[in-house]
Amino acid sequence: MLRIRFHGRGGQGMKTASRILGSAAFHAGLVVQDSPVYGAERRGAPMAAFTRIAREPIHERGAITQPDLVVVADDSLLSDPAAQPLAGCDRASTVLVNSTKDETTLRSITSATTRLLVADFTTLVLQSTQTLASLSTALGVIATRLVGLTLADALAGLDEELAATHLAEPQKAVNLQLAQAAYALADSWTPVQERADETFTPAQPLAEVTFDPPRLAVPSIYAVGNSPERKTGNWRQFRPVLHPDLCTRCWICFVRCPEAAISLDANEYPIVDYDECKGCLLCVHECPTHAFTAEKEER
Amino acid sequence: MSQGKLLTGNAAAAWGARLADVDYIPAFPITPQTEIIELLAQWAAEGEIPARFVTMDSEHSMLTAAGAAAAAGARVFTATSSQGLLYGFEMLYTIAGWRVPLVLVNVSRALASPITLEADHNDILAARDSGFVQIHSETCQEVVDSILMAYRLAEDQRVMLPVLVNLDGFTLSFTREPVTLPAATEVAEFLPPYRPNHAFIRGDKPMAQGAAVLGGAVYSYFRYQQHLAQENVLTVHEDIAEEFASRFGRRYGLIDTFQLDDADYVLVMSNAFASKGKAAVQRWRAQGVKAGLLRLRVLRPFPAAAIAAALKGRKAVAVIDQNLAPGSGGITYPEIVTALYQEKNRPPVLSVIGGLGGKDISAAEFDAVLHDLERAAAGERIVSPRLLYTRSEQERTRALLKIAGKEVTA
Amino acid sequence: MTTPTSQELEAIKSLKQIAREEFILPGTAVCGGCGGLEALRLAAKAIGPKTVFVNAAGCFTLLATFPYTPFKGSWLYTTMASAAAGAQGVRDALDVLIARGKLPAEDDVEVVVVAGDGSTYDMALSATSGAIFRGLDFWYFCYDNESYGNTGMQMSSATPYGARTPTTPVGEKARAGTEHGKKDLFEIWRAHRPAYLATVSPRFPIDLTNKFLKAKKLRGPKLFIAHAPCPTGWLYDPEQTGDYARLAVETGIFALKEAVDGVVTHTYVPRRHRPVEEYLQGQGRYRHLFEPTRNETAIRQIQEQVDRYWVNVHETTGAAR
Repeated sequence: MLRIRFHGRGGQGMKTASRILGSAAFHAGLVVQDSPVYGAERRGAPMAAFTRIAREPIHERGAITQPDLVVVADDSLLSDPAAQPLAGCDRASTVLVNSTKDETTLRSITSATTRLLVADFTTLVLQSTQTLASLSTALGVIATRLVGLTLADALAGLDEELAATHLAEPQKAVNLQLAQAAYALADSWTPVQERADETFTPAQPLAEVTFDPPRLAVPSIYAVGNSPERKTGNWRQFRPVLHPDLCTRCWICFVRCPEAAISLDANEYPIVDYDECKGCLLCVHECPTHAFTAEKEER
Repeated sequence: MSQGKLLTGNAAAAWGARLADVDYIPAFPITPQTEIIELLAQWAAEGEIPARFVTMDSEHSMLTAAGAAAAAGARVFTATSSQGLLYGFEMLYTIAGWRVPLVLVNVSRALASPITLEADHNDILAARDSGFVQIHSETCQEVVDSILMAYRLAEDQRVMLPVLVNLDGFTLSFTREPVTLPAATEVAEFLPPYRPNHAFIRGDKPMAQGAAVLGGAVYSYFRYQQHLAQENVLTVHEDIAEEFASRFGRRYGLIDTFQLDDADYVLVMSNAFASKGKAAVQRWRAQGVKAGLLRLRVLRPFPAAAIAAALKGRKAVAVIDQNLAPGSGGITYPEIVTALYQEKNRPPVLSVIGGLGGKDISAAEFDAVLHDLERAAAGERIVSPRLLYTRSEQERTRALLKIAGKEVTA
Repeated sequence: MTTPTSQELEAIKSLKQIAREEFILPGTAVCGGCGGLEALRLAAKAIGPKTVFVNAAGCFTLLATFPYTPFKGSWLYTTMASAAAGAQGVRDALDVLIARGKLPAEDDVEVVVVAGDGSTYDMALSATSGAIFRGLDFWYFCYDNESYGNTGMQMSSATPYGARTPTTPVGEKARAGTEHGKKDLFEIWRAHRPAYLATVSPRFPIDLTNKFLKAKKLRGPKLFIAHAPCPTGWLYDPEQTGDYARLAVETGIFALKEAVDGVVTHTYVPRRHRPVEEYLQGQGRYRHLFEPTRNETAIRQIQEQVDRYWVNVHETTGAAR
């Protein structure tokens, strides 16, 4: 069996990528299981999707704890404690990261023993479709190649997924071209191999859960206003950057920010809380003097 | 001191709330419970109780208001029955999850469809997994006493769970019998004011309650804590029962036993019809049959150890369920069998369904149960469950089917 | 900085009178660019710090997910159908605890229901009607994103005619998507004669703030329907939330109004309404009305309904055009 785990943020299409892979493998006559898992979080928040591919019936369910292949939609996820895309990776795992950074930089984040593949799919996708919506196509197809399936299988899987969308025919065609380019990107990469042994992490001892008094035993929260500890700033793809010389201190960005991620300093200049700002860019869009610009997040 | 009164079960329930000095009573009428809230409304209108009485727009709203008020730190009483309990069902689990200590009286009434009025226990037993503690009462006296004990239990730091106190519609709700009401001052000593330290809503101490929990591990922790709190009831109830007995002279156990000490044949019953079972036991005893009765009183938590200790070594046991889980049978039967499973000298246990929709259980039907018990003790295999239903009742039903224009064959 | 906090004011005239203190902090799990949160944040500034938000199942259930809360005040999650009944329980409990000397009066809080349109317009209509009928002194904040947002934007009875949702898809037999018109909750609530009733938009923060400040002086039900543009469900880029909030008002699709004891006043009447198309176009949920071919009938129907509404407003109130 091959176990493939996709990590992305809500809206990046990693559920679709896992389904493209699943459909491709199914088309190739293999036994397939795919499923997404969401937290409560939305667009921008980390999510994961799982695809299992085997020749025999699959007697596994739910999360993949020891992946053979991990596909990471952007490198900001690597160090995101809410995503933990590298969890359970070992020397037999391959990690594919969509990034403009070089392998050496990313190697410092990933485990030394895990095989690391890096490519800039974002640029590839933007060049061919002008929208990042097709990142799922690129990553789903490259995963298909990395598990050793043919281009025909990949295109069949993609076709299946595209059929479920409301895309117009020309856009579908663009996606098929993108798929071929993405497939070719992996020409020099050897496919992921099935694990020789299926030994898993040793069993954890069971804990004994004992009675706790009501102040502990209820899902209530006594901390006040502690949500900033979540640091939703890691949802952001683009960051709003203030150019104070253009700012008229009109308060519009402060008033509009849904998140309360913008406060005003003593002189009424806005301060963006980058730990929290989700990057909705309302402030950039609403600023009457264009004092904010949106800049691609580089973490 | 105490004073005797002739009270219906419903009035006894209202007195329980009054003596418990509750702060808040959200209400919604439903037969046969309505008399409880009418009495409380009257007392509130006359200023005889300080509680705020509010008629809500449904049982779902009523239970939400009750739970929310308890979450805000008030002592809350409310009551419902049957369809009403089911209409508010979602809230039972929610309130138990909030771990707030209100008392809800359910007046048992069989469930639709067909819609009917008299008692059986499918309503209250549907709530058995909700997290509420359940106390089932046999007499009007027990209703008022159980409510007072219920508040002590609910508000105990070792428990902190809502409690359902059950009484049967008609056979108890509208039945008057002598009740000794404890003096309010004595109750106040037994039941001090509720001082919440875990759930409150106040400007100086903000807190978030009922927050969503994502992830099975955290959910498992909170959910399992409800179970541990329920288990604590088994010991806490005994402490409270002891204190109640010393103050008021009436002792209530997790289970109630009647002529059980040397009994060979045991009936297991609950609620008001247990009185009829006791009559049958007395009759059999007069005939020289060593019979006894175990009445289920605290049903959640399920006092398995007490039940096993009381039933092991008997010649045969019949569980008379006044309820029916279609496709399974009696609801308490498997729980009792499970309680006995680990016992080496476990008796044969028969499942009997009786009293559905408030149907009477006649002496003849009890005798049929005894006959089965004797056969079972002799090693015979008895069809289970056995429905208590007489030939004449069957004939009468068939006559009605005919009147309804149905093709009844002989 | 000595700007007065907005809660201390009668009415504000400038954005700079909006309270700088935050009562709902960042870090929540709701989507970036959420119009509903934008409105709630502003509402909270006007209502003040001592609050309990009584929540119905919906997107905002995610505001407090264990172990985090964004609130400086309190929170109680109830159910989808009964948040107003929860508010009743809390309000009554606080009243009786104060009356019985069990809670100091200064520790009283404002009770604020927070519910989406799926709850408010549908399942919770009865419980809310009950609370208004009983004259409950509470706030009700409905963030109206015109769908069952938390389950994936399926049709609710607040979904407008012509919007595509996963349960009102577009097909040969259903060209408009949602065939029903949006339920008129404002009028349903107004028929109860609540103390105060208003619609608000996050893009009109002064209007929004003043409505909450005005309501603050009243006892009884204070009900708000907040237009809550939703990038995730309406399918536009998050930065455009303000645009669609503004266009909804300027096309006349979303009327800013209030009703005090049942008497309606429109608080913002544009001199000339922009064509509804400007609001519809660009939102993915309406794309089928424009592509691949224009559905003139549907677009005209939406325009005519808006026109009829405003003709009626002008006729009945004599409001200046």
